[in-house]
Amino acid sequence: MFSSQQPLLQLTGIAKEFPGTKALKGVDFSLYAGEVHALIGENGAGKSTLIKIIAGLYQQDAGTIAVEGVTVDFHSPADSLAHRIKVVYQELDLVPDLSIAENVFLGNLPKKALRAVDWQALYSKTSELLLDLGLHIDPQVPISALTVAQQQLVEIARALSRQAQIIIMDEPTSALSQTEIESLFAVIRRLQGRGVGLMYVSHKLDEIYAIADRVTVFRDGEHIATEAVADTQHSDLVTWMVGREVKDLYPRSPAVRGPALLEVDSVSGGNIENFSLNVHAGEIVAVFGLMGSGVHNVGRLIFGNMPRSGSVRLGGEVIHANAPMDAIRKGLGFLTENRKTDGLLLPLSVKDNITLVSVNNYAKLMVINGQEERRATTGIIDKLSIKTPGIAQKIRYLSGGNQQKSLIGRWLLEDLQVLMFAEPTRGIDVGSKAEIYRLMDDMAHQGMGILVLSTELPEVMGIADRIIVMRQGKSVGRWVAREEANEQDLMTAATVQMEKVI
Amino acid sequence: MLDSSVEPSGAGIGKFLNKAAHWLLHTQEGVLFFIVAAIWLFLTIQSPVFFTGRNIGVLLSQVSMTAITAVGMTILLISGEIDASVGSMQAFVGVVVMSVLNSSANLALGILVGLAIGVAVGLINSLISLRLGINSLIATLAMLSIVRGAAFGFTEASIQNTHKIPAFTEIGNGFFLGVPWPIIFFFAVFLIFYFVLSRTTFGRFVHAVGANPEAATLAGIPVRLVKLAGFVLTGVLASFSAIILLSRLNSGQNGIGAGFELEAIGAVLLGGTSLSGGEGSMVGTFLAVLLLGTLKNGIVLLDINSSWQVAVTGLIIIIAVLLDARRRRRLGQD
Repeated sequence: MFSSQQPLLQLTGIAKEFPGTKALKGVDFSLYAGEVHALIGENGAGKSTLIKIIAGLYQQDAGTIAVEGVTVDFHSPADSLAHRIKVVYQELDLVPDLSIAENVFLGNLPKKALRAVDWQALYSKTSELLLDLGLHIDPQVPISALTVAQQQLVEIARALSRQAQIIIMDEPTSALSQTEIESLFAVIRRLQGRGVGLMYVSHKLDEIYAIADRVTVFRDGEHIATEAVADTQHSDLVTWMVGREVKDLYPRSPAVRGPALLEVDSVSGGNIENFSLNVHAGEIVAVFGLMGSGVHNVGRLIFGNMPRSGSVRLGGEVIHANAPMDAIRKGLGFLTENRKTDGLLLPLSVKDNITLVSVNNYAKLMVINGQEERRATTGIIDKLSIKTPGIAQKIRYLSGGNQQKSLIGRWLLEDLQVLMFAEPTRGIDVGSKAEIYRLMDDMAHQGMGILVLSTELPEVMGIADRIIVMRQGKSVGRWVAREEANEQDLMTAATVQMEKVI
Repeated sequence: MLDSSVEPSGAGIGKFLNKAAHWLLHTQEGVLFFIVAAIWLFLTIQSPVFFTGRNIGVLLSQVSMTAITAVGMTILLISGEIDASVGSMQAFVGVVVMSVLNSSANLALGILVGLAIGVAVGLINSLISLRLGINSLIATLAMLSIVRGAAFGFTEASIQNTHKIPAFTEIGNGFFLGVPWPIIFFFAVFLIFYFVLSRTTFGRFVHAVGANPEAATLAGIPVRLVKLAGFVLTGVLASFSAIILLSRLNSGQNGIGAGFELEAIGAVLLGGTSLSGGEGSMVGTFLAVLLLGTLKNGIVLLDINSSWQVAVTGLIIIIAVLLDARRRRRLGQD
């Protein structure tokens, strides 16, 4: 439909290599005015690298970038901005203590005589942009007071303030609720109508059908396909991404239910009030809630990483508050929802990251037996098929999915009774997802208890034996999965009160 | 997928050469090694005195004190903390130890008191930084003043050696099998802590708490205890440096050690240890100290005004920070 026009953005044969990995092996990508072109692929497919090249953060080793038919050379983000390209990153780069208006016009403030800031113009221009995006908020409010969804709109307003003609969105919905996603899509459609070209990077295939015109699939740094979304089947996309068919995303097969391993009795702390649950051996229990419901805090309270009242027992033994060390020693593990801030040691190697918890097991008098440690690490890498050029590779060079698997591997080296997973598959591709779910199923069959804390309904429905729904820090309903639970009921339980408040 | 450990020997040599070339060109240690080697070659050609056992002995003895403190500082910086108070420690430990020796005539007691001061200052530093939550750079800069004040308060004039214990003079000036004792102390401390940092769980935890304290806590690592150990270790090694210095000067001087903290910290940074914690290199620190000593030695040998010796420290810090920034850019961390 766009073939007669000249593309806004044309990438040809882009290649980029990092120490030990070829991130991109000569890929093509084009974007036309008024088009939403989705880019999908598993972690490690090279999507983030491509975005960073377009943003001027990385320079490609080979290939050309053309904006409106003219070949350009980006040496810095400023070069990219100058060509009216704006990237809205997953981790938003706003200054939290400045106002919305200052953020929108950061580096571009309207000036009066003597280079003084024209505050009046700043605020009125910002208000205009915000209204345009359907955001009714005082432009003087600081960014820190906004929700993630609102912050995202501020980023888009920033793009509009610079007359961006190419907007790149990296996983824009990963922290948004369903209603927020709807309003984001409305904004996208409006931009589209104005002739802006949008590159939409996501893991969520449903969203691609809802919003995109064309879709391009990358796998392992290679271009696999570019098709009109209307002409592609869901299963085609998955096959292209994974390189094989994913038959069974949720392989859960109920295991023998043993005695209660984790007993949480009226725990309170943070925004959580009076929360109780049990996890039995062989069981996968999920706590589901929307962002802000406190579902992740449940893990922190149990693990002792957040002050709490109430009692937590593991295999009958009391787990003390405020002491993750105690919880680990007694056989409890906790995979947090935020890889970067709470999990990864970015400057360290894959090996050091994997053996972080268990390193004492390979040491005598504090001296580490290198051979034993390497063997344990290699075992985990093979078991979880972590893609890395070697165990000494810095973990920062691994893709998100492989980083996540490494963090899971960290706990597999410990002799655990119960493992808690907060957002086990956040930002992870379909292939890795299936592997992680299979792993949970295996662990349950080996007699472990699994607790999943998640904001993803399909995941909770697919993997759990029992489901607890949370709303505003309280548990509001319990279901036996597969028999009683359906998406409608769970979502209603999780949202109904919130809708009223809004 | 993984490097296989068994390799045919021919490929092994090629791989080794490859690795060596990569180290020399792409790591901070390699670059430093290259610079030090180049300057050594230059000085050997320029001055007939430079590459003699005697001069190298002098060079290494002179930097041994900075080196010993820098070893502790490397560990502390990797753990994400810093200690600026080590400069004043040189004075305070010196005057106290000399007066203890004078009144007791007991060498072991004097050394023990000196090391105990290191432990105490390390504990106070960690208390202020970790318990009270004051950034350790600020906290230990304050301690730099406080400890200096304590040295002045302890004595108004220098304390001369009246105990005349022969073994005391040996510490800073004596030889063992022809090698000056300070060099032996320097190498021993370096080797021990190279091992501690790279092969022990403590060394691993030091890296972990510096890289991501939250992740370390969630992995069951006692973050504060590890950092506290880093502070105490730095305090003790700074005291050890002070005792060697005291022996070389043969008098306890309350004004000595000004700028010593910059030299030690500068060397650690130049060695490739990151100011933001989590990564660092003991070998890098060793090479950086060597570079520092070589520059100072070269200034003397080439008859350049020796006041420039002090300026070398500043130069080193600028180079260090530039190299650090360059490396960060390459890693795409900015």
